[in-house]
Amino acid sequence: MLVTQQPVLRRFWYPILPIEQLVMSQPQSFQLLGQKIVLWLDAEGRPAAGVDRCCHRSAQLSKGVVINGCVRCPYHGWSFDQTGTCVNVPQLSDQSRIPESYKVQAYRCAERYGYVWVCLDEPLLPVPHIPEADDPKLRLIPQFYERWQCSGLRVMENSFDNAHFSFVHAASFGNQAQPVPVSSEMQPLEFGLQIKSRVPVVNPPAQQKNLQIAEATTIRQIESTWYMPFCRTLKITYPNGLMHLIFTAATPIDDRFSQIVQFCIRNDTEKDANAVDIIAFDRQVVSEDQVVLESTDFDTPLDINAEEHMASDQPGVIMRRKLAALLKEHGETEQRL
Amino acid sequence: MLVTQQPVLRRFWYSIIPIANLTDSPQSFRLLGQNLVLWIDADGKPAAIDDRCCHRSAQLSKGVVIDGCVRCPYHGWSFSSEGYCVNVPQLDQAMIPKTYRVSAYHCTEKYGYVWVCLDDPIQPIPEIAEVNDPSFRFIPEFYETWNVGGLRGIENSFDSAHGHFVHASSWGDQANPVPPPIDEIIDTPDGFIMKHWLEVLNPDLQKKNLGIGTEKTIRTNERRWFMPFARTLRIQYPNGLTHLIFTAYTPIDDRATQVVQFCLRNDTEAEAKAADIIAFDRQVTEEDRAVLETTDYDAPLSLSEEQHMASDKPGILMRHRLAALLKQHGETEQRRK
Repeated sequence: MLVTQQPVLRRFWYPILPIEQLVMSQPQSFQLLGQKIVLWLDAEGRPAAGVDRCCHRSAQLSKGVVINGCVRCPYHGWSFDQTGTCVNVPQLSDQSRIPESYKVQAYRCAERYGYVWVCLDEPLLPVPHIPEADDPKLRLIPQFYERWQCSGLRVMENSFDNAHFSFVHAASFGNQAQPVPVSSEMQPLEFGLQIKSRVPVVNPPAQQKNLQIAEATTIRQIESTWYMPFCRTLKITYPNGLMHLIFTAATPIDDRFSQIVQFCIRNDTEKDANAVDIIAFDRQVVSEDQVVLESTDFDTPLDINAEEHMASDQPGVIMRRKLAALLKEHGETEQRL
Repeated sequence: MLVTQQPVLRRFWYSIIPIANLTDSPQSFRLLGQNLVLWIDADGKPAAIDDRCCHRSAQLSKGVVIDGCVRCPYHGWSFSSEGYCVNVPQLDQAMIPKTYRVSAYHCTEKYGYVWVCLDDPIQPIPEIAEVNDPSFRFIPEFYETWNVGGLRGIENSFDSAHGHFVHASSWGDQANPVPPPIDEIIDTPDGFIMKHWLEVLNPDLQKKNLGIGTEKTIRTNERRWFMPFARTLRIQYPNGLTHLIFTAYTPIDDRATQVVQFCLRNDTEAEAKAADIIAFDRQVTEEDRAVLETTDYDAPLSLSEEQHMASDKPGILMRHRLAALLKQHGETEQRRK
């Protein structure tokens, strides 16, 4: 599936950028589903997003500056507000005479969980709701924000794949001596999927400290939720009651690239486990996934016949079916190379 | 001609990689646009199959070799040299579906290199009699990627008019730029043999390498073209020394070529050090590379698109032979749009 060629994917919210990267005067650029957008903070301090091309001579607005909450084009100084309306043309003596056609496309933009989220069209769903993020007893730790050469679907199905641990994560928590994955309980959701399983894992010294579990192996009680198309949460509960909830998005930059956005939520304190150590372990795991995922074909087929499968691939197979159904429902067919 | 779009070119053997490079781990190579994984199988023989697992498309070359099979880094599926999946750690081995397989290719070792043919071969691997002659020593020279089309590389090797300019710093005599006429061109089933002589400068390094003290010397050359992109150049010097060079411009894709070069000499290390022989050929090869990498990779077979002169005859014959080959196999020349 070529994500840039499926218009229905423009109807979902995607996390784009940590909000603190938007400082008052400096706009930022991001490419979402092949669309170049400019992001900035408006007069009320809220994030705004629009097409990153001036309607005058096509210069990139993100190379300009933010003045009074509007983004100003670097070429002739035209300014645009968060609705995309041109509110200042320095070459016109009477600003009330700015033609209505002087405007750029604006997009829905909101802040959630410390990130800027954008939707390019009428949203089908709200931003994924993570109740733990609003619980003041829990801490939120931003983890990763980086570009991978990989499709979002590969990342999503990897997140629900119990059979790759023994190989890809053999150096961190996978147990290569037990390659047959445990079975899981699966519940399709209207716009996603939920999976519960109990996974025995290796507990290396770094994790013994992070989890405060001294044994060399432990059990992860897992509840994973897929939010169509490219977000997931992985809620891990350990035998001592520790919760490690990971949110990961593979925001689609274009057909070949995804922006990985990851944070975690824990019910322990910095005194129990340093955020730096927690990030270090997850870094190792995520890098192990990155190496193999970047070697996969970005044009991931929804058609089940195009690849081989085994029992533990069921979540990825369901994702393909649900995405195919979504396309069909919106009058689209899967676009391939 | 876009080499990746002419299927008949898949029916030739190409030298891919020094066999010694496969000792420690599987390797990847792109041949005519096809990504291959190469490794040593259980019988100690080289094997070549598609570098994409049939499960989730990961690159097999990023995995490991176990019991002569290449194991995918993602879920540990193992493939034999015939491309059969022989181990799925998540399955009862007797139940591996027949569809779990990837395409395998003809692969063999010769002259210390792995050779691959992607389809039914129409010619054997070039025979070089001197390799089996105990009075000759074998010196591996170059193995490197150039941004050049295969035809540009191979016609350069038969062009007696460029040395005066391109090789003016090594052996070309710019004061005498008119090459002597070609003595003879003999068609062979897999190319042609071209005989000619050339007076060349004999710089200090070559005086030592050749055991010839004069400022100029005469090369009597027998050049043999092995369709489509390999050659031998047998240089005979007046003192009886033979310097035979094999060069392959193995087509990686339309834009890039892997240069594989070794030489054979009927002298000894005491007479001329291999390091010095390589150093001189290095200089000459770099001179060619600098100019060849500026040429258009989509070299036309049609003569009307470029200008020609008498000494271009070998390159013109190559174009005729390649055009006839395409025609014979029902193909037309594919060009960049």
